[in-house]
Amino acid sequence: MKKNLLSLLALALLAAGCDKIDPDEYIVYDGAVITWRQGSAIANPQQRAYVEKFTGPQCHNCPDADVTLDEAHSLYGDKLVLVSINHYKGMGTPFPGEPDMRTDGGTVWDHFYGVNGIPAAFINREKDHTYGSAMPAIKTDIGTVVAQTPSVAMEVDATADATGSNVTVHVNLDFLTTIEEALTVTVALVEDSLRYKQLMPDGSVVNDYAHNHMLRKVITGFWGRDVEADAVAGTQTSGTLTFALPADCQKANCHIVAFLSRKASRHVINSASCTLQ
Amino acid sequence: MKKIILTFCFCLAATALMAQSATLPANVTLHNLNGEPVQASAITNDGNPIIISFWATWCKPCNRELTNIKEVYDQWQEETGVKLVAISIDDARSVGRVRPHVEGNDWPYEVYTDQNSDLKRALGIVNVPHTILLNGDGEIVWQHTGYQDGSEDELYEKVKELATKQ
Amino acid sequence: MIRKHTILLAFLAAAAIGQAQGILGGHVTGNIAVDGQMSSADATIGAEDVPEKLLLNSRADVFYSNGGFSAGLRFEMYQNPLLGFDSDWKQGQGLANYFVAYSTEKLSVTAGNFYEQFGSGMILRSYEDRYLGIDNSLFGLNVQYRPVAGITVKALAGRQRLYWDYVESLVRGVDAEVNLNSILTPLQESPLHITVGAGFVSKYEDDESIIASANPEYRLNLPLNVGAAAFRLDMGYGHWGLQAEYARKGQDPSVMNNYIFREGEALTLNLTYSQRGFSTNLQCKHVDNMAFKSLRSREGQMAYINYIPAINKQHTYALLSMYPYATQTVGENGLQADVIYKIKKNTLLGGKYGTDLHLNTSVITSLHTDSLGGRGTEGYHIDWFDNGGIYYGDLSVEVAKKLSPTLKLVATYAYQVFNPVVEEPATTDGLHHNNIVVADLTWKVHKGHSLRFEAEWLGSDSRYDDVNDPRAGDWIMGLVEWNIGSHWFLSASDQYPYNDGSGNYYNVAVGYTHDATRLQIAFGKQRRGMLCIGGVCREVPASNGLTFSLTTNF
Repeated sequence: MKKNLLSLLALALLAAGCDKIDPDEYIVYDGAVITWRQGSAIANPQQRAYVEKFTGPQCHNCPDADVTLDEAHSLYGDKLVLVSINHYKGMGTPFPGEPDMRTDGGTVWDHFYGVNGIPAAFINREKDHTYGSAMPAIKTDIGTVVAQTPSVAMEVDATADATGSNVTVHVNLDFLTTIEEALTVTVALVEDSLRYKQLMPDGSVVNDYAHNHMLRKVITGFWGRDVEADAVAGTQTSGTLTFALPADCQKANCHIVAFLSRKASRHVINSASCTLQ
Repeated sequence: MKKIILTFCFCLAATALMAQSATLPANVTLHNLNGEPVQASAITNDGNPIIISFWATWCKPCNRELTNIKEVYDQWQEETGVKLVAISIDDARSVGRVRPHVEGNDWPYEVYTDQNSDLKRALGIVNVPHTILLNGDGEIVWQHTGYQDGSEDELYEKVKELATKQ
Repeated sequence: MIRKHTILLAFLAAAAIGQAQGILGGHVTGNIAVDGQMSSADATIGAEDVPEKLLLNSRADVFYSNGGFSAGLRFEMYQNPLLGFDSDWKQGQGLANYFVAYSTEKLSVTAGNFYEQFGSGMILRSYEDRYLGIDNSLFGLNVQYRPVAGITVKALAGRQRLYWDYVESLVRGVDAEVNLNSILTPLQESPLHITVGAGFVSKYEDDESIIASANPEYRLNLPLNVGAAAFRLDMGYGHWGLQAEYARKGQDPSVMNNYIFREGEALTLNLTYSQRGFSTNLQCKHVDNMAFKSLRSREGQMAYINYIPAINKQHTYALLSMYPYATQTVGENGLQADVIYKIKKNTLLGGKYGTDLHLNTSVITSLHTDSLGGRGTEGYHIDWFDNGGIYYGDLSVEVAKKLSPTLKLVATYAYQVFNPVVEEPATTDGLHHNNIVVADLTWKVHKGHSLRFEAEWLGSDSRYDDVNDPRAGDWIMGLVEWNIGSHWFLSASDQYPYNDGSGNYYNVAVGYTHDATRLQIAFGKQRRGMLCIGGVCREVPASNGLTFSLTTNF
């Protein structure tokens, strides 16, 4: 009997005695609070493709991926919502003396996919489907995604105050079908035309390569804020948050990216982006 | 402060009054040189005296003591039937060297390891070398701390006293 | 440490009642140990004045046992602590340790303070070393169950002592050890001896806010329960022996590893071969991120749950241990080999009385790591087939030879490589290389009287101006020790840095031993440095004056 008790105790300890934390949850960041209220209907609902691309200044294949995604942009316009992230290690690290454009949020997302080589890109956080090198197939796949009928329509707008440093973001969601699952909205700040060194496919280094869509900050927590309203077909909800624009960001080059995801799987349902007004 | 010390002294005195000869504690597990567990209370010598010598591989005086006793150990055993049990307090750092040390130096003793000093602590021993003499009933009759050349002669006098009593 | 009083009185009352009723026999053992120190300023060695004139560390243990029942308590007093003891010891006194235990043939239960070790201690070791000021006893319940001969199961839970208090965190653990020879009939008479064991320890510590990066909005998602498991094997066959232990620790971001989430790992192997007059052992060790503490944000030597010993030989001669190695629980690889060989009497090399040879060598390196980022990340990964830089290396040869019936010489040569980063991680000094020679001559003048002489030399390329280190430079040392009967000894020694250094560290000591009582008084100068026991070190400041030590057992 005593022996049984002891082995039970041992089993209980083994099961409970050790917390395991996933790499994408090492860092906790609550971020800006979203206040929810009644939203409005969205005319002309649009399904967009949210693409996270992992890149790096010392990655000689990455400029090829940039070319492909630039082509995708000219094909699909604002139906492609792109966030570019410098890989947290190896080729993602800056050249000596160069600014470090890696971010905590980017690193946490990087761990979500377990990115093992760059360039790498993912559409709507489907982590099992990676695009690498020049990723030509991504263009047609984005086309397939944006041709679908959206289950939720999404809009985002962002306005800076008179000083230009406090930004208010509105996210409007129009549920076209009912989704019986917890949902989150994530808002991020990206910046275009960041000029710093980039290793090119021919081995040369371009000193003022223009890095576009670079992730600067995840404004909500890394995994977003909960959507308070139930996602019932025919209802709308709208969220508002404010944040301070980081001093080293050029307002004119900044975009806001927002995406709606399933809380459990982190798959992205729809997304939107806008410039700062 | 004073109160504590007074209480403490009183406690010491009270316990000392009711003291009888101690034996080796019942609940301490040692290991032999094959890594097998042995209860300290299992150390016996058919009613003959036992010398318990606490030592460590890194302790110079301990090694001198055990080396010097080795030279006279046969004679001691013949004359008195005494047995020397060497308890190593080497911890994880050097416990792996205990068996090579004992066998390499050809020590004829029964050797156990006390890796976390459980037996040493239970007997209230402060430093090694420390020698304890048990009579034929396993009672502690004499203790000695430290080793200087010649200490073993004093130890043997005590062993002989025990042997003649029996 | 409040309420201790009450417990003490209760203990006493119980004893008194027991005594009065005549039911209490049993026996009492214990000890008293007092260490004292007086020190005055000496600018040449950096010793400072002790304003309170006399420092005292004292303690007394009293154990009572009667049949299967036992109890004990320890009174400790630091008024004030000796130089070099953590300032957290503060001035204090009280009952620092007390327990009651009951034990039958199969079961032992201890309630109160207890010391325990699983295997070699890689996942759990509570122990005390009063010279290092370490006592991490657990306060709680410890159960040992021995269902049949050869099987021991341990289960414990408690809180760890830290100075005069207990930490909030909980430590829980289970361990089982099985001697296969005792339980498997075919092995009973076998020359092959096998003992296996496994343990698991879990720590629970409350959450705290640790900033993850430069951005203070980000904090770490800390694991509140940290687990560690270990598996071990002890085998013996004829002249051969093999001990192996592997330990793994779950995610445990702490100040020791710069709050990374990498799991910890450690492996030790020890292979021995021994026969009469010849023995050897080969040890290797790999430690990676194994600092397991009850307080994740506690730096230094305190609040460890586990114990990772140093692998190199523990030297005892003063100049040989001048550059001691302290275990790097964050990560190290180590290799050690030891040979003892006795050259027979009446041979060319053995001479009339034989000669003892003792060779030892060890090398310890850092891990070869590739960084994956700072705190809040995986930290790094390691290259198994490569080492980092050298932390420590040494090679020593010891020859012991009886020259005549009254003269015995022990001569030692050692070469050491020492990386100062093991003591001061920020240092950029390169490796120190030392050559050391020791001659130790014992002369039995006549029965009961002996004289011992030590002459030591250390040549080092560490110069006095490259570190703020009073060890730098070349040293000579001499010692004379006179043992008078088995009761008295007198000794005088001097350590002197003869080219670059300053200071002259002389010491005279007298000691008296009677049975289990020993008193030693010394006067002289002590160099600032590391006092290390088992690879755990404490810094000792320079001192100049009198020290005494009294110990007794009863």
